Amino acid sequence: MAQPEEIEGESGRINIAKDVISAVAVLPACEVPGVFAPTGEPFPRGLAARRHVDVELLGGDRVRLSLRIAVEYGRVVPEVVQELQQRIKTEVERMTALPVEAVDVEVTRVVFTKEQRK
Amino acid sequence: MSFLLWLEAIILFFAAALAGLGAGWVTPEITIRDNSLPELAVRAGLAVLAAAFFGGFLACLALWRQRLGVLELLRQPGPRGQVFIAPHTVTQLALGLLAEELPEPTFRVRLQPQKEGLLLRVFLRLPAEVSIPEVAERVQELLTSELSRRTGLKVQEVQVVVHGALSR
Repeated sequence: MAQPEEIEGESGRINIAKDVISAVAVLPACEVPGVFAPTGEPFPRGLAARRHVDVELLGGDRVRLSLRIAVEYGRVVPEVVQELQQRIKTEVERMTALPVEAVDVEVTRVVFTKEQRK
Repeated sequence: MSFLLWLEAIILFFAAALAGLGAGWVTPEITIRDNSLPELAVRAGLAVLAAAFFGGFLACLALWRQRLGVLELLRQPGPRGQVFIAPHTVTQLALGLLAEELPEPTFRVRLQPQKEGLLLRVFLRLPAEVSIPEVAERVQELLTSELSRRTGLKVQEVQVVVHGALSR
């Protein structure tokens, strides 16, 4: 069972499970063009995505995320990754109110489209 | 892969230790068809074996150190977090670029760390009729510029090794 992250609200505590943070983090990965799951398929949504995301809870409610992805062949990797990092940071901070310290991305493979394989 | 390398290193180390022990401290005896080999010859043989195993162990450590060096170069700090491009990804990208340039996919790529960036060793098999210096230069230019552009990594050097000719 994942350890929940606690946020002290005005009317009480809010607990957010790590799995939920990873599910939120993966949402932008489904939208950034050229980003795939490390298996080479589109990113799964929801809790199925948690195996591709590690959530580390730092002090002061901060979160550090580590994501493993594949990138489509032909894309400029740093550009794709930077866009992904920015979107993940924005999305996680918007949906959970937890400050994101860093989004580390590991590009584990390149995905070739059918046309590129020919 | 890393696990196998470590396993190999450990096995080679213990093999070297055992052979060294046999050469130095234990009185070894080897008999072939009722003829005992002289003790000195057995000791010398074991010492050679120990040195060979130890050499293998050192080679494993050197390979491991080289891989660590490559991993270090592939890690790039960014404003929102680190970007790590796995060695396999860089190799795949290089192979993709080569496939665009050379129609017949008969090459492999190895990565090695250098002081200021990556060293790419490209092993090629080319058709007999092509000009090797021309192709090698094209490959070097392509990988130095395009791979750097697509990954953000610094490619310091591209070594082309033509190790065979393709028969038609």
